[in-house]
Amino acid sequence: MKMLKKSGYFRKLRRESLRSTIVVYTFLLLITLLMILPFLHELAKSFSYPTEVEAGRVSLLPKRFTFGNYYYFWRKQSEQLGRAFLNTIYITVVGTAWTVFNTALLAFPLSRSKKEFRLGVPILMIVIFCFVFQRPVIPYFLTVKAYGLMDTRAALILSHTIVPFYLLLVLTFFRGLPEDLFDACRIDGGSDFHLFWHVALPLSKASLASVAIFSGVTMWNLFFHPMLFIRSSDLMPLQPIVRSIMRGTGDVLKGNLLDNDPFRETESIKSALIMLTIIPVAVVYPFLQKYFTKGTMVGAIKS
Amino acid sequence: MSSNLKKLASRYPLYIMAIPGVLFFVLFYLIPSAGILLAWQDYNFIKGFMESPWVGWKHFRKMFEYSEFLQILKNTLSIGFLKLILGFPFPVFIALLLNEVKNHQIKKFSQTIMFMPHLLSWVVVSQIFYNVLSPDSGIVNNVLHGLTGMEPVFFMAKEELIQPLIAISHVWKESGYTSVVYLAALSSISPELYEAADLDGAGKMTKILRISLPLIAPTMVIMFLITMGRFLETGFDHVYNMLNPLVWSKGDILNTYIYRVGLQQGKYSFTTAVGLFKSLVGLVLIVGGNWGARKITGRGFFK
Repeated sequence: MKMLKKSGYFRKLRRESLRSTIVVYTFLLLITLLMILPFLHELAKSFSYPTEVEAGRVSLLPKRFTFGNYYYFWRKQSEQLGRAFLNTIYITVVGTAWTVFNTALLAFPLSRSKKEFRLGVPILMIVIFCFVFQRPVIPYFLTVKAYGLMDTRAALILSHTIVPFYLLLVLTFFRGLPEDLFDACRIDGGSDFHLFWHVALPLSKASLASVAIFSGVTMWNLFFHPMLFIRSSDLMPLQPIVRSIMRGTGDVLKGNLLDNDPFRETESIKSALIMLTIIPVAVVYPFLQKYFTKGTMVGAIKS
Repeated sequence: MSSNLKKLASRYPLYIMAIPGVLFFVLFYLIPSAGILLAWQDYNFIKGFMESPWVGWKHFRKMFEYSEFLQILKNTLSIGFLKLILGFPFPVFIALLLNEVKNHQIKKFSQTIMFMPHLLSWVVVSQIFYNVLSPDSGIVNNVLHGLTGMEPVFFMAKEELIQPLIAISHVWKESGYTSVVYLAALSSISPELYEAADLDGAGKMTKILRISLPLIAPTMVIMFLITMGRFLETGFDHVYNMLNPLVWSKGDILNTYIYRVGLQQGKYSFTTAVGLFKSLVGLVLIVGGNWGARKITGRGFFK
C-alpha cells in the first residue's frame, strides 16, 4: 500500500478520474443543450414581436416582449383550436381509460395458469402476431369503414383498445403477483371477477399507470388515425389542425388577406402554437416521469 | 369428464374477461390482416370485396415497372440506413454518459430533458425543425450568419439534405427514450466487476470498453434486430410532416406513398400489394438479422 502511495498511483488515479468526469459532464451538457435549446428558441419567439422574429433577431431571448402571438389564437382561431383541444382531451381521457381497462381485463386471464385458463397460448400467439406485424393500412381502413365507424371519435378510441406491447407489460406484472393473495381471496369465496377487481388491479397501480401514460401520450399525439378516419372538421383532433394551421391552410384561405393584423400567419405565431400544443404534455410529464421510465424498463427487460 | 367440465365451468369469469380483448384483436387486427388478399384483386369500391375480380400477381409485377416506385423504395432504404447509422450508437452513448454521472439530481434533470422530445407529436417536432432551421428567423441561420457571415440557407428545402434531416430528427426525438433501455441493462451490471477493475488500475475508458459495453451487448443485439425489422417502417407521421413539395421526390417513402396513392387516389389493391411487399422485406430482414446475430454473438431474438 505504502509503495503504491509513494509511486503516486493514487494521485494519478484521482487526476484521471477528474479528467474523465470533466469529459463526461461536458458531453452531457452538450447533449442536454441540443435537446433543450430548440424549446427555448420557440419559447423566445413565441413571446417576441412578429417583425423582430421575421428579421431574424430572436435567438434565445424574446425581443419586444408581447403576449400578442398567444392572444392571436384567442382572437382569431379560438373556435377551431378550442374545438380541436376539446376533441383531443376527449379522446385522450376516454381512450386512455378504455385502453387501461381493456388491457388489464385481457391480461388477467392470460396471466393465470394453463389449468385455469386453457386459451392462454392461442390468444398469446395472436397477440404476438399483432405485435410483430403492422396492420396493412388499406384493408385496415376499409374494414373500419365497413364497421360504420368512419367520421366518429369511436374509431380513434376503439382502434387503440389494446396495444400488444402494453398487454405484455401488464401481463408480466400480473404474473409476478404473489399467488397466496389470490388463494386467500378464493377461500373467502371470491370469484375470478373479485380476484381481478379487488386483488390484481389495486396491486398493479404502478404498471397500469405506465400503460395510462403511454396511451395518454399516444392519444394526445394521434395524427395518422384521424387523417384516415375523420373527415369533418368538427371532430378533428388537435394534431391535424395544428398541422393545417402551420402549413397555412388554416385561416389564411378563409381570412382576409388585406387584413392589417401584424400577428397574422407569422413565424412567431407558429412558435406560440407549438408552445400551446406542448404545454399540457410538458406540465403533466415531470410528475409522471417515474412511471414512464419504469414502464420502459420493464418492457426492456421483458424483451 | 363431468368433473372436468365442472372445473372449467367454475372458471367461466376468466373466459368472459377475455372476450372483449379477443374480439378487438379479431376485428381490428386479424380481419384487416386477412384483407391483404386485396393485393391479388382489382378492388373496386362499388363492387366490394366479394365481387371484385381476382387478377393474380398483376400488382406485384406492376410495382417494379414503375420508376416512381423504385425511387420511393430507394428513398425508404436510404432513410432507413441513415436512421440506423445515426440512431443506433447515440442512445448507447447517452446511456454510458448518464451511467457515469454520480450526482443524482443532475442525472435526473438531464434525463427529464432528453426524454421530453419523445412525448411530442411529429407535427410538433417537424415544425420545431422547420422553425429552428428557418432561413428568416431560425436560430441555426442566425448563429451561422453571426459567426461566418454566411447567407441564410433554407435547409428543409434542399433535396440533398432532407434524408439526413429526417434521420437527425429521429435521433433528436428518440435517443433519450431509447437510452433508458440501455440504462436498465447498465444498472444490472454487478458493481463488483468495476471494483475488481479498479484494483487492477483500470481507467474509466478501459472499464467502459471492457466491462460496460460487452455486458450490454446482448441488449444492443436485440435493439439492432428491432431496428432491422423496422428498417422500412419510418413512420408516416414522421416523414409526412417533415416533407414539403420542394423535397417530395427525395423524401417520399413507402408509408407516405401508400397513403397518397392508395387512399387519396383510390388505388387500393396496388398499394395493398406495396404494403405487403414492405412487410415481407421487414420479415426477411428480421429473420436474416437474427440469423446473423446468432452467428456472430451466439444470441438471437428467438433464443
